[in-house]
Amino acid sequence: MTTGIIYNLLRIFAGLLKLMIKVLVIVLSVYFLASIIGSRNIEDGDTYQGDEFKTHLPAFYFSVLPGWYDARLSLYPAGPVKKQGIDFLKNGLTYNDWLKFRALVDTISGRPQYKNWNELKYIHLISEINSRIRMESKNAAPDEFLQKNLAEISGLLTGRHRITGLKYLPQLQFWGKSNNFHQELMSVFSTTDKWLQLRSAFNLSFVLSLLAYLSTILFGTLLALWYMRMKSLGRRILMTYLNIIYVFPVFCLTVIAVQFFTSDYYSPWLNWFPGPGTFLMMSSVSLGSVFSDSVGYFILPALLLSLPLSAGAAMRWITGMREEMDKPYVITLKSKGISNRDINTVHVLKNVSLPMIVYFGMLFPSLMSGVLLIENVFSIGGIGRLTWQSVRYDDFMMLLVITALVAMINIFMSQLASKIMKYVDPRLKVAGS
Amino acid sequence: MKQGVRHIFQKFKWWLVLPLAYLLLKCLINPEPVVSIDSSGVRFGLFNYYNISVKMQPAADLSIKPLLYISAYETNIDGTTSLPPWTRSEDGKLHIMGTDHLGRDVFAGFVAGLEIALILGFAVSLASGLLSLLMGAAGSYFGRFPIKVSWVELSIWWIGGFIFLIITSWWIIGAVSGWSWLTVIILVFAFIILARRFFQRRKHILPVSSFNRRIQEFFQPLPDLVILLVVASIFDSIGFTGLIIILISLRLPTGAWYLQGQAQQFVYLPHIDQAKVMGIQDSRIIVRHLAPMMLPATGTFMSLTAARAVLAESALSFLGIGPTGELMSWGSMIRLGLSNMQIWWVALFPVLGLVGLTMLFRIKTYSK
Repeated sequence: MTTGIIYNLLRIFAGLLKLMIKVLVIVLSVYFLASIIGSRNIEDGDTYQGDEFKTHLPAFYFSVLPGWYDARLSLYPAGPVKKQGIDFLKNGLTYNDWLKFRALVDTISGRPQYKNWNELKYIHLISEINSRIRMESKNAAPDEFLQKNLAEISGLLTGRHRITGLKYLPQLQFWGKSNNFHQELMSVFSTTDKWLQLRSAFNLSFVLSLLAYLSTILFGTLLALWYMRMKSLGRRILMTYLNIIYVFPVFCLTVIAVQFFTSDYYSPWLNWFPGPGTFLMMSSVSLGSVFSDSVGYFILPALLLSLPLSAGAAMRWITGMREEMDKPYVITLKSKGISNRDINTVHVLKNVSLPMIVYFGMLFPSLMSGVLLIENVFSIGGIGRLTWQSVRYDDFMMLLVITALVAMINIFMSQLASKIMKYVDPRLKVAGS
Repeated sequence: MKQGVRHIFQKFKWWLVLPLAYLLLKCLINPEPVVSIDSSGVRFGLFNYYNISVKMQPAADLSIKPLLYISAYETNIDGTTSLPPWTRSEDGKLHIMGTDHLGRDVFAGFVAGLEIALILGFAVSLASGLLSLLMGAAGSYFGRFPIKVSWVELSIWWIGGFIFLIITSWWIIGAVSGWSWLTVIILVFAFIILARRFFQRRKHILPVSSFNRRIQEFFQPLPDLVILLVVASIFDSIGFTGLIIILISLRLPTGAWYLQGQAQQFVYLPHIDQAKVMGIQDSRIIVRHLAPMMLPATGTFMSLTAARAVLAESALSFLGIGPTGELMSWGSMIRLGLSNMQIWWVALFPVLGLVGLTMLFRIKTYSK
């Protein structure tokens, strides 16, 4: 019997398991590659730069660490400094004692303090730095070196540090909880700040991408129907328009739209939407509060996001519908006297919709990369902004979680699309897995 | 019969003209003299790699200067900053696209960005097109004429993969949750699924043809930009060459899968069978008989890839994570224009260039 409830439950469980394995393999291999190639440190000011930054470890290895060992020490490359730290810990002193000792040694010996450079690394606004340099160079006496090498200096400040070798390679532990990877992962999951950050970012991005997704489906379909209504000249014009819009990258559209339609100081003309920078980044946002308070901020980004995607969708619709118009059942319908609008909306649209469901299911990755770009322009603290931040501030664990989340959503969407396809066309159920 | 401007436009050999246009650009605007003869030797600025050289190279006495002898990175912060398009600065230079807030010429920056986009587009599309052509052809060929192996040999492949799964999943689940029993359960189920599939096979063949599909499935749910960001985070920053390599490897799975699908209609042609029967080597059949028939589809894939590569680079530069610190690229110029809306011309020309180049690649895609 293949209709028992247990059988169905097992089938659902097996499906979930397959999905889990897929996501797991993606995440694991990203993590695996990352750990082989090298990884980032999270603490500020604790990094060594320069010659001490070379490490001589081979690839990752498994090790069991003794009880007195502080996992933060494993962030340091093997060398005399680390040996000193290990001696400190062995003799019953703490990690912080060692840090203080090291700072003391640095100040006495007059070695350069790298803390300032680390601060500089986190200044990311190019205009801010440039204006600062300009201000300084105008107020102070004209420094020839500065003026000559202004571009180089600003590039140095804004660009991230180039690494000559790998900074450090992680020590891994097969069992146990006290290794640094565990701590890093825990910093994502157990610290309230990060968890809240991720959740509220997800809520914001959910609303934005939902609006964009729905408007993509709506505009794509409407544009295709409009195309089918028109005669040849109108069709050509619309098709040209669609072709141009389709290749417009999201951030290029944004540059133009922000000029004309936003209420900031940017635009003197049409103040229809709130501009970039008007949205306040909140510490915690619930889904309900996003819908009730701040949907207005998402309208322009969602529209901009959906423009190229809906052009692509419309072109797909049009291709399918024009092929469908040659079939004999359309001629029959026409001869029966059914209006063109009814033929298009009721019959043709329904028959073309099957591949379009797949298309809309597969749309999510491109939507996601659009979200990533546009959230950074409009400074919406969603997933895209969080990704950017985690790349900037070397929070690799957060990036990993986001990657897993994106992969999971995309797989879920494609599964949903296949389910909807089976609902729309029940013949697919019989045809086999 | 096809007629008109559209037809001429489509028949135009862009792939022939673009390298020439590139060299012409080098003569038009360059921080180095095109040719300069010195006591140390002859230097050709015509063939310098992308305009990363920030400083102007001095011209020798015997030298051919380019039409505009300026660098995209040369700043001029007194007086000539933020000039609108088509104005002359105090020293009489004409800035046809204006200057930015540091006094850099926008036209020079535009050309430098064009250079980067062209190099990136062509390198990525050529390499990934050729590699995926070979992979796709091999995949479909070995689907038609499978390599039979003994079950021992095949089980070595399966067990190797399974050991990889065990180690990684044990490690990460142990690190995240400490629930090792979850690992055990998942591994048991995975083992059952894999073992069933293994024993269901009647013929033990090397899974060459399904390999492309598996890799494509693996990369499908992640957007390119997210993968690029992950790589950028791992390596701390992406250089130009690294970006080319990553983009090639990102486009490979899709291309191999797509071209394998395209090759299916050619594998079953009789002359392939005859070649096989005559005892010609597999590699020779793939390269000499199967791959040439797939070239039109490869061209389509390559032009789409070029457009994608240019867009990905500019998106990364726009986010400030690409090779922005050193390079003047269209993405970073758009970013600059967006942060200073008063100087709109800094963003406008790169936008137009980006859209134009993408349109060009797209026209190439659909012109047959």
